[in-house]
Amino acid sequence: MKTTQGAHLFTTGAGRDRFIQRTAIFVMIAGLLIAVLAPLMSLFSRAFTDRGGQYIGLGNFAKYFTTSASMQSFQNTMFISVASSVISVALALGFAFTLTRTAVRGKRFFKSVALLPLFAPTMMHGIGLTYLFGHQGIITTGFFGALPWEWKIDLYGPVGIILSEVIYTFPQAYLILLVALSFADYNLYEAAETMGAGKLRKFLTVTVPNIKYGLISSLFVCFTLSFTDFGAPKVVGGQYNVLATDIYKQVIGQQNMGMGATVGIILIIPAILAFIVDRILEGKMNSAITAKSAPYRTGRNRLRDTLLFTYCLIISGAILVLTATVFAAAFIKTWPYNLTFTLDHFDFSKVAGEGMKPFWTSLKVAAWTAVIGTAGTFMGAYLIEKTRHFRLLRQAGYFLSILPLALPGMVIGLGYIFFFNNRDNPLHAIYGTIWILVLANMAHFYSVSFITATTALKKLDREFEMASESMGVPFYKTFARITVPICLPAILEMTMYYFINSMVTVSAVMFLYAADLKLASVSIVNMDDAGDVAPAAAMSMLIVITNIGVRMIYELATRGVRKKSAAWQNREG
Amino acid sequence: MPDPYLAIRDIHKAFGTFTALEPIRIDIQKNEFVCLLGPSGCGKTTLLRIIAGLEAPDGGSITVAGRDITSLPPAKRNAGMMFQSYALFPNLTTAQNIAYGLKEKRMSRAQISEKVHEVLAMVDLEHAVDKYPAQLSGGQQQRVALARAVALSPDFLLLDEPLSALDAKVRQKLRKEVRRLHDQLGMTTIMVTHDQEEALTMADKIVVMNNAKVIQTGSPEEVYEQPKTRFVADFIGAVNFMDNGWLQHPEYDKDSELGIRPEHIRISDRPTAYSREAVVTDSEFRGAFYRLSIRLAAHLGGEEPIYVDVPASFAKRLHVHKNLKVYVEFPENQIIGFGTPRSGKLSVPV
Amino acid sequence: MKKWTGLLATMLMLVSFLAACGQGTKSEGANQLKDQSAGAGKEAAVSGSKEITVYTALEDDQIESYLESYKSTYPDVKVNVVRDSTGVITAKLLAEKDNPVADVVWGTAATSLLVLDQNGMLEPYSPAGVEKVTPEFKDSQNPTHWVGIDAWETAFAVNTVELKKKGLAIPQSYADLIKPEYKGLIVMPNPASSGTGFLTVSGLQQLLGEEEAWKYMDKLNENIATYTHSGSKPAKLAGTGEYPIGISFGYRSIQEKKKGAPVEVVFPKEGSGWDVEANALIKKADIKPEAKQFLDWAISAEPMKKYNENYAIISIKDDAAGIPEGYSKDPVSQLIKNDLNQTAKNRDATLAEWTKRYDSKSEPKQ
Repeated sequence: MKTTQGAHLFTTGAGRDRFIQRTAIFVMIAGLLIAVLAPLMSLFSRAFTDRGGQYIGLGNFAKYFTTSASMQSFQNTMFISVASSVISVALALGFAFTLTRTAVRGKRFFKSVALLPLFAPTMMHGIGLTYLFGHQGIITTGFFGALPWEWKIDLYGPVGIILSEVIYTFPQAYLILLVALSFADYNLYEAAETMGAGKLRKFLTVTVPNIKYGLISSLFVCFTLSFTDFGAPKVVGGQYNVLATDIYKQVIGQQNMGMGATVGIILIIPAILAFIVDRILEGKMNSAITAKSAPYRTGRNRLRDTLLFTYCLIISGAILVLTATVFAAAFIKTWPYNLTFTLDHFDFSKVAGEGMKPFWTSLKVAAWTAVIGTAGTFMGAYLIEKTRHFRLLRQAGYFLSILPLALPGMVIGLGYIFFFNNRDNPLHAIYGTIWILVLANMAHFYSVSFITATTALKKLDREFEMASESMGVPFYKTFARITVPICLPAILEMTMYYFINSMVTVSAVMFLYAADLKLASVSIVNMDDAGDVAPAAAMSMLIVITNIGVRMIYELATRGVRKKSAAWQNREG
Repeated sequence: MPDPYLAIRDIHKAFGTFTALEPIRIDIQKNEFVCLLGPSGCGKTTLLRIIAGLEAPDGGSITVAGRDITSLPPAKRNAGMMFQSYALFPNLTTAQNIAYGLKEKRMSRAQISEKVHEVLAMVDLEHAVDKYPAQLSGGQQQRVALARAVALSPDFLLLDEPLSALDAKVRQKLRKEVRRLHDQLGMTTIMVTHDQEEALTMADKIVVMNNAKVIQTGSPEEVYEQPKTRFVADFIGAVNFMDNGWLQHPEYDKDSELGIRPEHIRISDRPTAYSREAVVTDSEFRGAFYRLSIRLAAHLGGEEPIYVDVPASFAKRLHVHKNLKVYVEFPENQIIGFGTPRSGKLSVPV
Repeated sequence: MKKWTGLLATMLMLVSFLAACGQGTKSEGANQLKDQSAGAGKEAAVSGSKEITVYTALEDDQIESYLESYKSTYPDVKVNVVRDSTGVITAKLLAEKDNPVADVVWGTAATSLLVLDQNGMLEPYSPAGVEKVTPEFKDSQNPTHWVGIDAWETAFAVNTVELKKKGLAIPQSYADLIKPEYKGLIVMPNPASSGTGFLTVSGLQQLLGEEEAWKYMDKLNENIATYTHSGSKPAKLAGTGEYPIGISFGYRSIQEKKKGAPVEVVFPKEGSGWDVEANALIKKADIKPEAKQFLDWAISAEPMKKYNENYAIISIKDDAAGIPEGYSKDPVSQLIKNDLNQTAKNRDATLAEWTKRYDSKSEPKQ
């Protein structure tokens, strides 16, 4: 690194800037090593040990792949993941297409409803489904016998899991495809038209290649999410075993950490694959659109619009009915025998929920994660994107920052047990406190926030930093006065993302919470385990309402920010 | 010749295996307007950033008025820098942008406000004091950036492609403005550009760079009329390259390559003493003049066409059209030779 | 491509750097944090404040009311309760054998505590008042290694509405449960995770003999819709009618009925398998006086009264108490002969065999 040869005087302001930035880069790298890489390494090393911690080489893997039950789980997991991702992407494609390429009414409504599943823990989708399609479900019994027909599906097992995963992954696929579809070059459509291409030909030769990467990316994302999800199989899986529940059995049920770690590594494989595909596509996607591209113009087509409007109505209806059912179940005294209204299920002290305390703990953890996570992630992205020291370290930092994208929550949770629950580790002190939950959530959701921050920072003029340096203004003043205010919308988005995800997540924290720090999402699992399904529904409802509340605060806040910055954001043409 | 005000001595820089700058040596006098001119990737911006202190050189020194500033941070060099993108902070108003650096200088509020208005008056933008950059036109933004750079009362001004983002009309107007500001403030200015016309019209001295090296330094007239290399001749203005084998200029070797600018070739519809016969193969209307492509009778079928610029009025008189037979003359004193020294009569004192 | 190899190289560099760091901290950290234990018990060890960690498999909805009298007697002691189902608590305790976190085990199956005892993990301690405890419900040694507080037994929760809809009779015995008409209507707790599940299986083994018991369970397995994680869930599922017959335990089944679910509580004619919920002191370097104090309290009159509100059979006989609500006769007469020691010895083998035979039907969480 030649830059050090410049021999600048470290007593000057710029020398101090340099010192602060370099120290900050080191701190960031150290933080990422502790929060991401070290636990992952611990997990890897534990996969090669037996129950007692003795090294046994590939013994666990051999045992795993020779046990028929494990192989069955693996096959089961593959099946439900492939099915869920294909269905989910297909449904989301139609939905996103309608919202970007047609002139249907109620787009705002559809957009909001499509995001609703993001605000709920995955267990809630399962609970909703049992109330709809379970043996005593509304639909199964034909609205408790009020309707002349009944519709029985074999919910507990693959059907239930796939339905839940489709609901869970639908918003994710929809968001990716929405972006893919909204970047269209209308010139291409006009070119195709002048050459006499029909509707289908235009769709196949222009639309599909255009969103190809978005499709692949959304398929992989949905696959990974279903492959690693724990909540839905837990609630509606019946006797159908999947990898995520296997890990839980090994780790919690049998306290067999070595085997848990082994299954954890198997769980990472598709995620790593998806990660690599995503990274490769990332570069390609950007090049597809140029400054000369013209935005898509929607033509008139009543038949198309009517059909797709109905389609969106059905999808939105399904999501709303599911959510409404859970809400209703939370207030019903004894489903299905006594349908009177009650608030009893919100008294969690008499069931496995252990009172309201888990809810408050969840709020606290989510709030801390949102605040510390946003600050840490934004500064991390800033250091990587906007400073000019230690190019290699910054590259390593970038890699470590997007690595969590490939790590399922369970893997993070397990890695954290191995790394932090070790008396030789000076950081052992945070084990059993809320800080390990905050840290695990930060690591779990770091990448997406990091990418949000990086994207926002990339939009800033690269010369801002140099301009202020040449004017003798320390970098941190420019950071506070220019960078942060301009990136405020992105920062708020990151905060909301951290908060909502911390409220609903169960996979990582399930292994890490201390006895007196149970989280709301974990208590849903426990209550469902004990058969207290109605209180579990009530707790899910509290989480959903909290998240919608936070989302609304976010909307108000961004509106405020937008108004304030309207002056400088509104380019005059 | 006086001691240079700003002396660049053996500054060099490499990024990994890529050499950005070979050892560079440039002298700049006080109040001089110097243009670093060259194609993109030639190292001119790297050099400017090293002068600004934004990049550390691998070796060499920079002195300003005898003071070594090589290892000083940007803020201590007292240079005003204006960036290619202007780097105006979008969330700050014009006044706030200009005051941004002033606030670090322990100036009172009143002093800052006074200074802001003073520089805004200089660029004639007092009415835009409370506007955000997005509310200003490109040219206005450029002037705000310029005002911001001079607000700190710098010893010298560094401009990185300051006009490249503007459209042609505005650019021409701003060339004058920048130059006027330079003169008015008695500034020493170094400007990076890849636009030869900009360099020719604005600079006192042009430093032509290519492939990490300084190729030629001189006044605009000098680099235009006496380019030292084929590259300089080609990069600045248009030029016809030809072989001395048939041109037979007495001062050059038979096998050396010579050049002549299109406007220096004399053309006529009847033969003269030294003229050669040629045929017009193409003509291009350029407004004030026509650029003719001609082919010498002796070379029909081979070689590149030779370009000749002819004033529009004269071309009309000739009734220029394709296949018109013409006679061209290559005045000996307009022939450009590379490398070999020329006779004293044309050289301009350095 | 080049970027990726660059990243890979960087990554390797960082890993080696990390490895070096890891070695450094290992030796350092060992001294500083010697006496820190994992999880909830940690703070107690550090600050020396009065705090104990209690592992328990008692029902969530019972713990709070039980602890009321403890909290009023010892307001300055913080009790960290770690609750999970019997199987999980047992596995957790076994896994932490070398570094025990728990100070006390409370209300956990005696068969599990016997497994811990066989592993040398229990510290013998006779709590104050142990002499009042019925001999069958405590360890025979002196001082005692474990002391029971109550016993619980297999019971069926049967949803009358759903069975009536299907035109089926209420099953009254184990023998009834394997009738083909109940196929897919029965849920049972997984014995690997649930104490109720385990006592049901071990009860069947003692009733029928080992071999016959497996044959019976093969047939029962045909009728089982799903095996649940907890022993309470079958009763609750029966309560909602999701699955009309739940093999559960007496208390939970009666609770469901009390709450208004249309269930009838059936104690199988053949007799019920049972186990004792018992307490024990964990053997560790720093046994806290509060831990012993807790064990003394746990069999004192106040909590015993509370246990009795939930369980018909408690370990200290109170002659004044009549037949508890929900029971038709003296609950003790329903219990089969049960050799807890033998059951504990066979626990591992029984569970392994059970898992091999029926686990694929088990609910995800085990």
